[in-house]
Amino acid sequence: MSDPLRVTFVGMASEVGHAVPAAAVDGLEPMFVEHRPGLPAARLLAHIAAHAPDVVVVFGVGSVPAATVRAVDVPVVGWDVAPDRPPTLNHHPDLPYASAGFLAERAVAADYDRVIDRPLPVADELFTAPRQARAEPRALVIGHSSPRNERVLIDSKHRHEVLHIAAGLKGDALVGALAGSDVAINVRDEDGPGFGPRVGLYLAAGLLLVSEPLAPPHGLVAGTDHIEIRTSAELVDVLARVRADPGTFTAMREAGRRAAETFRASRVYGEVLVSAS
Amino acid sequence: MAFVGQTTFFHACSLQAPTAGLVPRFFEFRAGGDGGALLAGLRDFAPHVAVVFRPEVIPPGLFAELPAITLGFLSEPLPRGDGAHGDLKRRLGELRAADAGNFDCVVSFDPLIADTAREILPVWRSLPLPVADSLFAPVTPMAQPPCVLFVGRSTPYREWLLAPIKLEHDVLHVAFGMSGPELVELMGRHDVAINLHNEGYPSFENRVLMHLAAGHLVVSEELDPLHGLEPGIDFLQVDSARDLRRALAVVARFPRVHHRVRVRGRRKAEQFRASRVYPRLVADLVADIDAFGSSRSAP
Repeated sequence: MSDPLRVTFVGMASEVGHAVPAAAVDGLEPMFVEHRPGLPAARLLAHIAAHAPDVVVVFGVGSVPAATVRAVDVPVVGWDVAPDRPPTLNHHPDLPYASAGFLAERAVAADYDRVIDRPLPVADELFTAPRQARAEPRALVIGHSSPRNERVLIDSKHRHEVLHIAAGLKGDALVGALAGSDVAINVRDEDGPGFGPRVGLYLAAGLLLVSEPLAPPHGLVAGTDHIEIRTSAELVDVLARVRADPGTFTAMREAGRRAAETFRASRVYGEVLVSAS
Repeated sequence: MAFVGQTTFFHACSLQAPTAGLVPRFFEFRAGGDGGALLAGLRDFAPHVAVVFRPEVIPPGLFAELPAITLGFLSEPLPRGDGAHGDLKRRLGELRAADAGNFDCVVSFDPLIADTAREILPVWRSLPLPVADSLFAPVTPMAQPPCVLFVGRSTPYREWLLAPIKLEHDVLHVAFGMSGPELVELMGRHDVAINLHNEGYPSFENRVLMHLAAGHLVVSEELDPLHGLEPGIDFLQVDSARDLRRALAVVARFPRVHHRVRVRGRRKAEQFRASRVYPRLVADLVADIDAFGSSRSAP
């Protein structure tokens, strides 16, 4: 039996923590380092050195300086994931992203041994069996607000039970929010195609996924493993149908849960990281 | 005593257990809801008094024949004069849908909007939205690092202020939809609460009192009116994103530095405890109507 693959994952737990198993699983020995843009590189490098990984995965290609990537003496993989914040804040004067120094020094794809562009995996421990929907089903949205996604959500928020957590959800609180919900809503921040950073998470948690068109679909099939909506009115209507008959989409929830297996962290990292190490 | 409103926003402002002869029940009702079903529920409960949060969402004439004293509770900010923010003008437009004939009396959360509201709903009294007893908790030692909470919808204004601290601290931002025991549990897991206005206009958000009741250190933009709270004594006042950032940096580094502010804020919150406010409010309301009557058709 080969040694487990030691992987140090770097990112913000509230954005990508759900993609990293909390403990060793199926040949993967993970460690998560909380890192925010602007924090000292030396701290990050010390954590990596202490873990002595075979591979380092950085969530968000530009979230660390290029020099930090180069200072790591094992393969470093960049996982292409957008930060969970409104794009209008990219020029905020109090954010490091806006500083000329940060922009000049941040890593780009070429600084990594490999860059991966696929949906965020889902930590194995977050997979649960679909539950029977409650008599008063609740829908969950995780992620920041934007004018566009609020236009889609607002009517549903005022007519149905919708919990919207805009930032900071992780760990036990994340597990609790998922367990306390029956439906997950995935809407895009801006016009244009997209998939969403938590689609796999919602399906793995056994929730009924109601989503704007997924582009690319990454193997998911609208109408089979999730419900596709295109307008605010369609979302209101779907939630009304779930409320009227909470069991009506049970088969779709189960299909979604099965489809989520393609996002299982131990499986995904096993595929994409072994070759990088 | 019936309370009528959207649970998400107003259950935390209601009386939740029998107190001083008042037996409460909360009736979920939101804009566009089924007025007939609400009326049927109220008739079945047969309250002596019904408190209605956001009276403007009640269909015209719905309470005209309800055999109970009805009290509307204005909970939304309104223009305070000329040159108001567009968001306030929108809210005033919504208030114009209110039917004054539904209510015996109206309370506003802010005395400074009474003049504006008067043309639609005459304001009888002003007081902040009370805080349900279930939200009161003792001040506990602060976690290290402190757990920071912001409860409120996203607006560009708020996100601009929150962006730096969301990056630098673990800030849980609950944008919508939490109430009841889940809200109480959430409050118990946090030490510091942020209060920001919707947009760049002054107000007094009811979450301030909820957080004070929960024993949080409240870091807020300037409150207007103050409703008796004292900046620097009961809560920390910040005037910019940089101020907010600095305040949280200090708390993160020295978690006990504002312990006295938490204690004072928690004590001040007692003035707004639902079981203290509502019995007095209802007694005044009944006495007032006994003495002066009501213009409502069938109180």
